[in-house]
Amino acid sequence: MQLGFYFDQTRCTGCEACVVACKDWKDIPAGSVALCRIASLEEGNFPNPRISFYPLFCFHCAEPPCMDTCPVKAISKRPEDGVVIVAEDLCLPGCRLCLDACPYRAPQFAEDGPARICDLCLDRWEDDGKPICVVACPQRALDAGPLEELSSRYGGEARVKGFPDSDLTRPSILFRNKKP
Amino acid sequence: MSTMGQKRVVTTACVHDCGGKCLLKVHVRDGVITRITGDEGDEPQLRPCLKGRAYRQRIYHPDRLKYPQSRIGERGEGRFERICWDDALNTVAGEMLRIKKTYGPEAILDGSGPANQSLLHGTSRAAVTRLLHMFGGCIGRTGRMSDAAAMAASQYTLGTIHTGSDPEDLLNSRLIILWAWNPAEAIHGTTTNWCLTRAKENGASIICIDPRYSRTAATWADQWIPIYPGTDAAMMVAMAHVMIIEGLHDQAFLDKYTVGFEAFRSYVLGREDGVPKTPVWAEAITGVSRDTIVQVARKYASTKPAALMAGWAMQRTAYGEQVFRASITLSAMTGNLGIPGGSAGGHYELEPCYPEPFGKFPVGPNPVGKTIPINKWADAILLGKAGGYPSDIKMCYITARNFLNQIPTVRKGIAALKKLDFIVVHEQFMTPTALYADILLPVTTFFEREDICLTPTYAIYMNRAIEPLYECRSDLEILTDLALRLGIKGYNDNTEEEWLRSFVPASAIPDFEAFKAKGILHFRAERPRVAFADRIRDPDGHPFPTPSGKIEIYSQQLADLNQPETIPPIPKYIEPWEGRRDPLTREFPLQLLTPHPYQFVHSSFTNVPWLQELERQQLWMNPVDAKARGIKPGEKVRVFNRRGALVVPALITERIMPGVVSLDEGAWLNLDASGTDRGGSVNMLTRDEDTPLGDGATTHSCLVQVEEM
Repeated sequence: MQLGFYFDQTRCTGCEACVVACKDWKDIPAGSVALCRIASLEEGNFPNPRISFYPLFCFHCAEPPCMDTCPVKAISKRPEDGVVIVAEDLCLPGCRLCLDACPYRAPQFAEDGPARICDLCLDRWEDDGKPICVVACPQRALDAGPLEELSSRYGGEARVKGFPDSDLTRPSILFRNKKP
Repeated sequence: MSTMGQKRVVTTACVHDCGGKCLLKVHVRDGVITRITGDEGDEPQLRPCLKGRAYRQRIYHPDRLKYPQSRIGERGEGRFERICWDDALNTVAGEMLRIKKTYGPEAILDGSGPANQSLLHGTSRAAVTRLLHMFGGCIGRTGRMSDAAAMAASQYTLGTIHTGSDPEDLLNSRLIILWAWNPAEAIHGTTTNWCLTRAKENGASIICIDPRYSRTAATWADQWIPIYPGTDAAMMVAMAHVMIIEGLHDQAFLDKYTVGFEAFRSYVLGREDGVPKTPVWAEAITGVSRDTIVQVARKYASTKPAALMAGWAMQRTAYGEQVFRASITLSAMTGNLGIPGGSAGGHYELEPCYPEPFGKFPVGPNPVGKTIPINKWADAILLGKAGGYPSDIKMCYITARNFLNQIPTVRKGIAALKKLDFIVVHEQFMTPTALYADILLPVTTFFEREDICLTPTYAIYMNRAIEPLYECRSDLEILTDLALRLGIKGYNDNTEEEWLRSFVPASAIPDFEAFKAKGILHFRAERPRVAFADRIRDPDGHPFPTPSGKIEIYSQQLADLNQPETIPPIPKYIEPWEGRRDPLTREFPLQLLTPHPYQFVHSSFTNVPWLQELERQQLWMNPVDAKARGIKPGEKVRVFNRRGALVVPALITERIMPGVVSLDEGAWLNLDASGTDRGGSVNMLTRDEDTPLGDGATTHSCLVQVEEM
């Protein structure tokens, strides 16, 4: 089983409630660490501009390059649900090889702190909840769960425009694309 | 209340001066808020936006005002000394008594604002107003910043400002025209955006008319139509022309429910002034092609039901009433007024969904029967009776309002604040306005007191989550204490809970304790409510609350005002001052828009780090205008006109039409030694002229020039 995300790009207004909800739930101050980010892609020329949004989290890839690159094996993938986790006590301060390996720049660092990545709010799953970003979305554009369930519920595509190439790492996210 | 060692989650509501009112779940441990989450309960959920989510950083912000202070430097300089509550309130009482005795009560301006909106502590025209009225009165106020022209237009045309249908009714629409309406950023009802998404997924076609390709346009619009600011009424009138010429309008509806269509038709066809209001005529004014005007007119007239959602942004222009009179007229011409999935095109206020009104904190009558238009507060202070105002104002009592920053023409505001004898400010932070206080008093946030949030369709019990921080008190506590020092009896003899219980009608909330415990109560109708549905179904039994009992396309009341150039009896396009055809464009060729920021509520939250890091204050500018001025992306630019200047970085973007620039309102004024604002406070540039009928702000009639630094 692999836990992952679903993102409906047609619904996202780019409001960033998810970004702030993540910071509050995880108690992360403003600054360098953002486990949940929303990126935008602006295209076209006046009077036909276009802007679309997509998330940048840790997508708990099927083949996480961060894991292979970590010299001290601080990063692992849980066999039971495929969630990628960082053993923060093992992480080498200042190394940051995982950041360079990740197409989504997901590992986040505060000063000389260890790598931090989205953990899918595993604490909330225990209470039957979903990740805070999911329940925070006023537009119901995000969901999370076993990838197979998400796929059968929503269908979904492997990528959206602007999203870093997903063939290499096979991120655990499905998209509904906003059509041009 | 002791909370040591306890973990609990309490319900409250985010009640800022925002179009939404959202439910917050406050996680408290040992008396400290550790997390704020949103509505995860029954639908319809009232999920908060990023501002409510970020509130913890606002409550515990290191810059919270912590104790009473007295000014020791010059006004605006920001030098204060800590004083005790006794000294602070004795000083305020002494000055109020002196000013009333010397100049009369009309020398006192009630500067209470809308920044906090709840039943008891919502200070807008409540706690301070009651105190001043009991004290002998104060100079009264007319108008407001947000929506005064829309209110006046709706009142005269439809007889009410309650012209909005429930947002869920959008799901019945086949066509939705979002005209200058930007709920994705400005928030217009907590559930509205979710309704728009579902309406779109239901198959509704959505058109967005706005000079900016906003998040609203980006999310929902099938078609975006950029239009020059201040010219929306011209496009509407030209759409009426298309409908009349092509016979697309609903004559039966007009005959049955309206008066004065013939006069409007005569104006549209040019019989009144020799100028037919054709799409060709409107193209030159609006920048919208004749073909597009024809296409939208045909689509609106032939798709039913269709909702023309008129946004307040376009009525904050020189003759802002006209565009709302015109939008109501179009909705009548297409027969979309009062039907499910339609829209009246008016002010958008919802009728309450409970039978019996809630009580309000009573303000009582104002013994002083004189008023000033509030948007011209600075002008009134500076010019006084000699300038035609009814009073020489000497003192201002300011609560829940960043007066200086959020009302047009800041430089005039600074001069006015420097001229006053005495200024009291209740605040949570050292805002640009607070810098001018003589006595500055720290107030609690709504997390530190009990209250009720009431909207037309739901109520939220606002439990106190934490004890008041530092030496903060609520406005009501401060004014209760002050009332005693002024010798006013009976200002406040109730506890918070006694007041709240007295406000709640048993028919709406039969079990107060259960409401308090559950935190939320929806008053929803079975089906989405449609404004004016009964008046359309049964016009004889339910006439419109206008003098004629009908929709007044022609208003005799307006005709009787005898100001046809600025307040015509039929809706017209009136060429705005500081529009794109004003001769002033030779010097200041760009039209400035000042939209609501998506991450702040006006000037509240602008100091919250979680929100500050998302998007910086920047001037939107089309590449065409940037290139002509040699401006590169991200570069600092100087934006100026004769009223002032500010410096901000430029965002060069295809998402705004050439000839128009845009800078979010709300950023705090930060003047440098030369008097240029480095904070990006837009009201440095805006003009303090009001709309002619409603005394509404005209901030979107504003010409500027931009240059590289």
